[in-house]
Amino acid sequence: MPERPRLRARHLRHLGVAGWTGLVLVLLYLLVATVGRLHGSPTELVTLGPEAPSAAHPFGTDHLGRDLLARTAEGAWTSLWICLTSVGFAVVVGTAIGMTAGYRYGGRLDTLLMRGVETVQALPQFIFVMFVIGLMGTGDMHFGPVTVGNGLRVALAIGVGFVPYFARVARGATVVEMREDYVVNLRGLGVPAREIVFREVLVNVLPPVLGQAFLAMAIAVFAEGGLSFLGLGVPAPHPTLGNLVADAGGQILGDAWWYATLPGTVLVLGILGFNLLGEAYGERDRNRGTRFARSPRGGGTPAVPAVPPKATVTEETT
Amino acid sequence: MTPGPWWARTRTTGGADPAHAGPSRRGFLGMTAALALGGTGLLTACSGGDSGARVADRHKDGVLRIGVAAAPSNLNPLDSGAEVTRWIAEAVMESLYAYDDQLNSVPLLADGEPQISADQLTWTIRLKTGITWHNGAPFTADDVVATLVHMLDLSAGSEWITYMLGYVQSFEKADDRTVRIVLAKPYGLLRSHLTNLPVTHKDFVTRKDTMMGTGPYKLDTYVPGQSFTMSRFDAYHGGQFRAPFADVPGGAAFKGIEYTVFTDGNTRAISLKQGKIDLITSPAQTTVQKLKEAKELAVTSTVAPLDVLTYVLVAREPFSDENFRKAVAHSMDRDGVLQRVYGGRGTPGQGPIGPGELGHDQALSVYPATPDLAKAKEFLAKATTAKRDFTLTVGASQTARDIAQVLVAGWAKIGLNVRIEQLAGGPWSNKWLSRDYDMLMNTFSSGFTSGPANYLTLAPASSTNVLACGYKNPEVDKAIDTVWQATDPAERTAALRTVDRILAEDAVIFPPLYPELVVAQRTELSPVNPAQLKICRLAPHTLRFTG
Repeated sequence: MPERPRLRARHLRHLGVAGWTGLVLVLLYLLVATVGRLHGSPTELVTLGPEAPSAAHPFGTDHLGRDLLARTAEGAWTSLWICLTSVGFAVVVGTAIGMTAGYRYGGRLDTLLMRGVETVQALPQFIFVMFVIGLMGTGDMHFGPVTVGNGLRVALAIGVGFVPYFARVARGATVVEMREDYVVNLRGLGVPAREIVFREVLVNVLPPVLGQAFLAMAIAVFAEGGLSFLGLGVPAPHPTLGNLVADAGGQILGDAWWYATLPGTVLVLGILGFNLLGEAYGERDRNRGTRFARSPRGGGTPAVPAVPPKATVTEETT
Repeated sequence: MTPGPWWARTRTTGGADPAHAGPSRRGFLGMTAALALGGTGLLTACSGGDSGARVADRHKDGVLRIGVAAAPSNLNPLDSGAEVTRWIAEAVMESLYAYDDQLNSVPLLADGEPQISADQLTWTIRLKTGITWHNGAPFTADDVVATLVHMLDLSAGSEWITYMLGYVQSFEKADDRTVRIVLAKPYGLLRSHLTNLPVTHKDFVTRKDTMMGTGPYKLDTYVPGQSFTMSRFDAYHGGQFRAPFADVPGGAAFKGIEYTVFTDGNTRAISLKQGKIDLITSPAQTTVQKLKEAKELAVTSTVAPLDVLTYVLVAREPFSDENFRKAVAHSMDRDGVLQRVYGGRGTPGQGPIGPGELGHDQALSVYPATPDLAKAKEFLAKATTAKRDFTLTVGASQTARDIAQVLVAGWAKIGLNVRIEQLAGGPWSNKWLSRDYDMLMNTFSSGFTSGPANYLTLAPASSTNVLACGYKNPEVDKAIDTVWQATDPAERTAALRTVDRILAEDAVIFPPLYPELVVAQRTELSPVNPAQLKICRLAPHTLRFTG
């Protein structure tokens, strides 16, 4: 049976030390982002000023006297949903664009789509996001009864910035898959193109895309933190890890060591964890790709891949 | 084939690729962490040292160095009374009259008191002779007239126009040393304005890239948004210097003054502590205690005309409902803002006029320092409006954001859902001018436009003002007219008290607190004059090195 891109328990041993470290860091991050939120209100004023960590306030309190664990947890949660939204958006849109371009490899549509994503890619990603937020402002936008807050706009702006990378990865993988014998055979049997693409090609395109998604999560956590640090993220009093660290910057002389350190540590957990996990996942996927042919129906033939495996990951260009 | 972004660059199994030579992502992360730790240690090690010796060595060049939080984009002091502009301009520009240390208005460029006609509509002002501009040109009546023309030019965008429009009818040069101002109606505040309005050379009134004054220091160079360098003006007439500085030739003790912009409060404080600068404005609240503990530093905190402007738009829901306004005012966490944001340096707010301003009523006590939630809920229950949410629009500073966060947490206790909107100065002012807001809040110091008073803060309460918030009360309108027209200070003070009380009781203008003005300095510098600080002036040209 062919391997599928699911993270089964038996696959975890392939993660290696770095992968396991990443997994533990991500789990710690998720623990803070979920269980930490049960600790209390992130906006309630509970002390008169900053207080060091104690049993009542394990992360201490901030300069206005709010529980820092509750704020860090809320910030981590906010960062998480912004990152999931942005990466999810980018995976869906990028994969769709990339697969369409790959399916039409060499054609006008391929050229049009890839020139489009390269145009977006021409701007450095962080600059692109700042440009978009700068154009739209940080206030709420109202579309009739629907209000779009800055959090969603930040998520989508980060997501749009990611689209080119996923599109390129998906296109490269699609081009490789479309040259495989099983696709040729399925076409010969008269299987509709839609079924080939969605039922056969997609499952082989997803692994490298998801590998990149982990890495993109790390960048998204970093980007969201950076934008909030610059005041372009979610507005006060809603905390994010970025604006917590920014606020803590004003307390450097106040001996409140916990203020920057603890939210900053959680931010590092997220960035480092997703990064290591993404790299380990990507490496595992590449190793798998060298051992087996990638046909979901092909029965795991020992293979010399149609193209070198590295070309299936990130390097394929138009 | 292109390498792609670094984050997407991974090790391949296909052999070495020169394009990908260099550290792996894991290696990069490790190096970054090591560099961060090492760098922090190195910076910490380098941050010590004897600041006193550094200051003594630095003072050999005779230059006073001041750290400020922001720099003006427009250098023309005729256009703005904000301290960001005027602190830079203090030693460069002068006005017809100036405040002495008892805060009396005394002649500076004017040669004596103005002659006021019996009907109080014509003011004739004689000018001093022998005064020269920094470019060497003589100071004449043409310069004063050009200054007034610019100020009243709608297209020039000077904020002073709001003080003069409707009152100043015309002005003319009677002769080279005499200016005549004709008023449409009696205008008692004119003397205050002539004491605060800087006068500039007639060829420089529209210039936004430089300052041309008659003061003891001239602006030599500046780097936009970063620094301003001034040198002593050797031909200075000496008008601003009285004892004990009269012994210094020309009165000015420093060879030059440098203003450096440190937008971050910590950087300002650390630079002062390390002896890189002699004086800082607006130290961050969180740094004040540390600065006080340092023996080589002195912190001065003064009651001054410094306001937290707080306006509600009475013209629309929910603040059109008086009970809603009172519920908001009674649940305002004044003490929370005072303690948490200002470290206790200030007074809980009541009406629009603070203790550093003419007309303040110390006995006025409409609202408690800590929220009276029971009373607030009573008012809320009586409110006819069904709205329980509004937007609080504040300025872009950390202080403004902190004030808003404390207040919002307090209002949440009576079930009000308040959204915070932070805007930079321009968009914030546009909201104010276009009356497109629920509640507006920002910090503002009026010392450079009103001396020991704040007349602008009352403007939205007047039903005819361009900033009118929709509140209509003939008694308030009449009292505000008296404030602007009366020549008798006692009459003006009484009118100000009336306005202050009514606006507080009707919950139209109810700031959370009246903060104090704080500056910090090296002890090797003579203390900042507390009398001048009461009107927001640093008066750097009157200081000197003492060690």
